[in-house]
Amino acid sequence: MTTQPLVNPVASLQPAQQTPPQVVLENLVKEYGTLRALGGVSFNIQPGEWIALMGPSGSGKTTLINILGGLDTATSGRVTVNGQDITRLGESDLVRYRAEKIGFVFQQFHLVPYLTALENVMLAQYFHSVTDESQAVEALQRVGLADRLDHLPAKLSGGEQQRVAIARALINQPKLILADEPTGNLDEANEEIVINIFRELHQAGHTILMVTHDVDIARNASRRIELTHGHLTLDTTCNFLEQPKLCPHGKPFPSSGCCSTLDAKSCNP
Amino acid sequence: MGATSGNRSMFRRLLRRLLFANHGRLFVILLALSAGAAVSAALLNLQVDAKRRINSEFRAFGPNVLILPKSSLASFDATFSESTAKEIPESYPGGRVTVSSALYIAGRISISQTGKSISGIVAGIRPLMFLRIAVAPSGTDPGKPPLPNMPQGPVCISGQRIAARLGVEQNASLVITDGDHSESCTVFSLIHTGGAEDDRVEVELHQAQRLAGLPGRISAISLYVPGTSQQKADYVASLQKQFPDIEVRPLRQFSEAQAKIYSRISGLLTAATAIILILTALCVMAAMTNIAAERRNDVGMMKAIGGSARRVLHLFVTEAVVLGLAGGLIGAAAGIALSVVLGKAVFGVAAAPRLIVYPICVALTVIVAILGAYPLRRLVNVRPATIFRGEA
Repeated sequence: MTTQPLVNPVASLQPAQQTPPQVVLENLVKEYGTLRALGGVSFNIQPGEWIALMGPSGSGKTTLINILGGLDTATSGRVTVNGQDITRLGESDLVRYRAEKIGFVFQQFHLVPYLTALENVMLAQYFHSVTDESQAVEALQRVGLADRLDHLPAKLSGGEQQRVAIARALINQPKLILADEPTGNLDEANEEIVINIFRELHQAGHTILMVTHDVDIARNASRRIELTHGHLTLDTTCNFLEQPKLCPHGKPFPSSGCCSTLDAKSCNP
Repeated sequence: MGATSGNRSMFRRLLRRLLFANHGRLFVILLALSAGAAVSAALLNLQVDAKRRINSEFRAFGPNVLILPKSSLASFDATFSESTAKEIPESYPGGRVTVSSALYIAGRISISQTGKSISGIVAGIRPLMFLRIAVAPSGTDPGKPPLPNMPQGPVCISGQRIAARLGVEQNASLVITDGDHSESCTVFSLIHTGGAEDDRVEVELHQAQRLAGLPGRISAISLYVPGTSQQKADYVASLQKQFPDIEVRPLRQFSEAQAKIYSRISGLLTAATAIILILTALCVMAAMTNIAAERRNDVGMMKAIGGSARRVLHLFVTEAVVLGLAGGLIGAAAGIALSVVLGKAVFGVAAAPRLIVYPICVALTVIVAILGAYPLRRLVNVRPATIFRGEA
């Protein structure tokens, strides 16, 4: 698998779509001192897409998702979400951006341990605008936790905790769901439950950017982006089962070798 | 309206959860704050009480301003009008002035039962119980002697030294003569001040005036003037201006010593209170550092889901205020009770609980709790990603 960045990915990845992209990343760079975590990443996300963000550890996946979610700032480059350049937002605008436009799901769940499942969901409402207990109950019912409302996180299984986190992420109807290895700490059964919820969200039209190491999880996504050493090395809409294809220049595609949107035209049979 | 009340209700819910998230930690923080508040309240109460206490202790040794006729140095018999005492202002910014008129005469003092007699100084005093009144707690009505079981008829007070010379005891009947006049009285008490009072017999002023044949005349007016040195100096100057024909003599050395001692005790208590509060703040800060470490991810998450630093901080500061209030209310109450015990140990008399100390001490404890929450305040200003990376 090559680790070289693909040339001009933004220009080449645009399939013929009518709707403007929901998210545009342009030459995004993030440096921690001398360490360059992201080395000029660019791609677009269309509304309703489910993108699996893959790559080895240290490739910049979490950094990218943090910048996109307004948890961190970029060293340079632009990130435009629904027409708003979030790299230019001040702290208070970033707070509103996180509250109103983003739903976060973390690998570690990040539930407040001394709040019940219901209160954890209501906490997101509290920071967004106003609390509505009935809505929070409904959100937990949707993820199958109607009977766990008053349970503290310690009394919930990992899968249940992650479902609370998903309910919390969805309670304010965000435009973009950012999930950082949401099944990373779950057993197979709970992983299936959580992924089913994401499938439903995708079918309902939510835009999802999910960091994952798991190929099986990534298969659920409509598009797969791979980062290596802070560079975009794959951006494909093909699934993992497609046979390896060759580009006109005769070299295999990176990763699994399926056809890539970057060269979709030339690779289509 | 509903939205606001819903959020208030959620705020209270969050606060309750924060406070009771860890009972052991809550106990430790409350204990630290209460202990700090208790010691601070005890010291502050002693400090406030010290001024009154010192005034009281010093009053026991006598007046601090004397008013004498200008010719008093030339003649023991010099007198002036008793009405002067009535013109002395008893109330001024420094407090209530205690006034006593006296007429000093040399007489013959004898015991009725034994007939033994000696020559000695007789002081006619109004009010007779001046010294007792002067050391009584403020608020005592000077018109009512605070002494129970007063004997019927004229009473007198004998200094211990003259009593020893005469062989007189309490409740003995004395006859005092001066020339052709004589007066009798019952010894109500024996006093020992270490001063001139020990060598004289004190009777009612009108008795002394009858003995001397000087109705309406007095030898001196003694004043106890409370307040600061400056206040006393101003008061003495105004008196001198008011009575240009008599001499107003402040006992300066005594007043300055009094101010110096109060100043030292006050400074010591203030320093001790400040040290206690700083130590309390450090204890709370240590506990809060632990809490900050525990809540690192919670803060990161709260900010990640849209919590502004201000709102997250509001939660934690309110938590600190509630802890400070609880610790302050419990500790200050205990501290004031403690000061009563300490006062008894230091001054021999229980310190009076001063109500002003209570709110001051509670407020100081709340401030200490807020300062102690510094680690949490620092944490909420860190970017969520930095917290999640474990760099905060």
